[in-house]
Amino acid sequence: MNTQEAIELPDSKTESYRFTPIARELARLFDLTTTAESTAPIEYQPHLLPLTGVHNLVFINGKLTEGKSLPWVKVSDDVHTENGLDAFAKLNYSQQEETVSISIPQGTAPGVLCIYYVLTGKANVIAHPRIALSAGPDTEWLILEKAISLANSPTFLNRQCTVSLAPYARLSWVQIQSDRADSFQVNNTEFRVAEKAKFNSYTLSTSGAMIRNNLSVRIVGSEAEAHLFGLYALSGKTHVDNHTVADHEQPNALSNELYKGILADQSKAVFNGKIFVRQLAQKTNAFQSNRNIILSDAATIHTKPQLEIWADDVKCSHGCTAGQLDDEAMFYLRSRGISEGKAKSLLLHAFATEVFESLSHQGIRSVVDEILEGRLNTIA
Amino acid sequence: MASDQRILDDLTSKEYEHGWSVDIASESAPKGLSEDIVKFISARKGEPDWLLEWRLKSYRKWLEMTPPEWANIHYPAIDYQSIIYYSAPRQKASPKSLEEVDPELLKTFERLGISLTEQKRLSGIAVDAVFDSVSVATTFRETLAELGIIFCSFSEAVREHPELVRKYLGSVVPPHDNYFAALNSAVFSDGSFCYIPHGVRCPMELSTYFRINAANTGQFERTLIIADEGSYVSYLEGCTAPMRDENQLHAAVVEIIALKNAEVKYSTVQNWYPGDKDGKGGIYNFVTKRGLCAGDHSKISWTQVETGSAITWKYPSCVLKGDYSVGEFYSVAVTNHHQQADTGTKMVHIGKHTRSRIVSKGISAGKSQNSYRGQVHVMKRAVNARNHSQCDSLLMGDRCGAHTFPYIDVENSSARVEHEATTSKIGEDQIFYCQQRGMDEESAVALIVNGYAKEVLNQLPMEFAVEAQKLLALTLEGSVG
Repeated sequence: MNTQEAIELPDSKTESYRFTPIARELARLFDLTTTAESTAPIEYQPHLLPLTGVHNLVFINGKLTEGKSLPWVKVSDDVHTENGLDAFAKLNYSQQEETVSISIPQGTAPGVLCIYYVLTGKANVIAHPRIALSAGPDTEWLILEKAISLANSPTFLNRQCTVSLAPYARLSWVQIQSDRADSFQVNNTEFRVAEKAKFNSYTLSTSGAMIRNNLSVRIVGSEAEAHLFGLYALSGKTHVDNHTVADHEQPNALSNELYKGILADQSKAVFNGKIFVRQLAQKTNAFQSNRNIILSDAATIHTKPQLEIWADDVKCSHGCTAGQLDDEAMFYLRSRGISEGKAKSLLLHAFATEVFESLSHQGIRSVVDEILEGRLNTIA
Repeated sequence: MASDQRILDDLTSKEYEHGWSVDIASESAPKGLSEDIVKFISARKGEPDWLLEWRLKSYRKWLEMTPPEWANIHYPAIDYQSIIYYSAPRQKASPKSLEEVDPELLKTFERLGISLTEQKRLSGIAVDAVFDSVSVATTFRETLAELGIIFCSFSEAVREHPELVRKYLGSVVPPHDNYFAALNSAVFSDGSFCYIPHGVRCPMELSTYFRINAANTGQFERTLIIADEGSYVSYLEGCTAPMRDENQLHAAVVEIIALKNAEVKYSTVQNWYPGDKDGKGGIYNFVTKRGLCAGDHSKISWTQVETGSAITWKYPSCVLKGDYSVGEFYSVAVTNHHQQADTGTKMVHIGKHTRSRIVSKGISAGKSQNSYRGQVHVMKRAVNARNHSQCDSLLMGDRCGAHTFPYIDVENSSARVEHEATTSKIGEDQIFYCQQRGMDEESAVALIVNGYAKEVLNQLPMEFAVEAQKLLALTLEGSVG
């Protein structure tokens, strides 16, 4: 288990981590060569989201504790080392023997699965959960993920996830990142979308110390669809870095990406969206948009929407903006007797809700809306 | 499809029209690079000690540096020891008038359509012609001198206006800026120098024409433009090279300084030899161009039409230091066959209320790779900074690639930065529409491409716009994706 010594986490000299010095922060706060010991049973129930009719999986410090009995969940310890893994994935593999496989077979009724990562302990609280999920043909599921830090010290969640969608599968993936201000997260997620499958991803980041999301979608079947939505509404010193990849390997597919950000105080956001359209992937439609509102001079946004295209019969576009709330809209509301704070939060809300418009599950939508509203009210 | 293929084939057989070379007696430095070569170049030009010292310092810096690898271009490592760093056509020490210039040389430029004789008076462009490593002639010197404008070769500027050169040389692109800028600083041979005095609006377009003629040589020219308070100048640059099997290196540096209320417009039509249709030969074009808007309300505008070079690595940039200063970048980059282009711009907003605008149009055909790489950086102090960037790519054929790498870094809450990019091909319906109205397919494509690039071409001075349009049509005639 000492392979981690060879793992060198990317520093700011690495292009993709140029603006996110997470390796430095982690080295300062944690000993990455060990993981937190499992502690006495902990009362996590009250911290779960108030949702009914859903299946729960709960990981405590990276080990699956609740949900083992679900028929399509299997815990295996066959660590297969893949080539070309990023340093954090390598770290995950070196520290975690368990892979939790979830395979939703064809014919399973639509459902919702909530995955919670509870981090607990006194010091050096690190968890490396690993999930491999496959959504069978024609299934329709929604997966929600949330980290819950209940430790007395900073926490670091390094989660690794590979997801494959079979033909005609429909899958939504929701990540809620609203953990404590001393929590660190690296989320490596790789999706493979087969033909005619439809995939939606929603990432909501509202708090934490530093969050890095590596989200990549490979379109390996024709006529597949992938929609990536993200919202980061940050204050304090929170640093959120979203690196997304939409890789079109097959023709006639669609990818659509919308990430929006609101930055207050000394918060910092990094967005890097890559679209690859391979030579085979003719008739691809790929769109990407990143919009940011900066509320404070101390806040910073680094955005890099990147297009790489090798096929000629495609429609691709990307756009990004950084700006402020519209003065005229502000004035309109103020002139109708709405207080400045209220007007601001109204406009921010209007800006933000677009991201979650297509999230159709009522219960989860209201959870997301509630977190978002609380967040925007405090920012404004 | 069949006709598409035919047209693409036609396109790949297009020849480079400036591919000839002339036999002119020239003297060159021995191959290779060392401190001795740097000293040789400096001595040959009779340079003062401070400049030699500056060159040597740059050379030593260069030795410590490594070539940049981040660009989306691929080429075999360049052997810097097999390049001739100095080659000059043999002629009288410094020609006082055009009569003294070697007639063969004049003919060369005439063949290129750059007449150095005064017959160009009608069109009113002052030309500084750079042949291999030296400037051979500068026209309209007297007319310009009457207004106090200095327009001469770099070597002359070093001799006659050392105080200006010394003050501004390396102030925008320091020698250690990057690998190729360091190399250029060590071995630059000549180039153009231009100074527009306080309040003067330069009455004619100033132009530099670069020609690589000798084999195995690299061209390393340096251009320095200083626009004093309230002045205006429009500057053009053109370049060609003969067809040769080996790759030739061109590593230039252009520095522009615009003081308070000054405006500089810099236009380039780059038509270096791009290599043959199998990707053999061609110029490696590694150029550092940067303008400093030093004073308030100053403006620098870059316009480039990039059609040539096997490899283009070029990012004309603006440092917007003065309050209310403006930076602009308009670019059309066309790649065909095996050409690779990694080009774009950098807009650094430092001053308050600074504005920048980027319009980049990429067209890739054949097996070429065309990348836009740009950065917009709004610093903390840059209150109310404003940027709009637009980069569009047009793909012709399924063997080429278009890539966009925009970096946007904003550290100020009052900044407004917008970036948009699209990638598409020429629609069949658009071509059909034109054909219905009696145009053949080739002219339909030329029309559509010209329309696509219009926003940039419109920025070019008239004389250049015609040439650029011709070039575009020539490079891409009839290529339907």
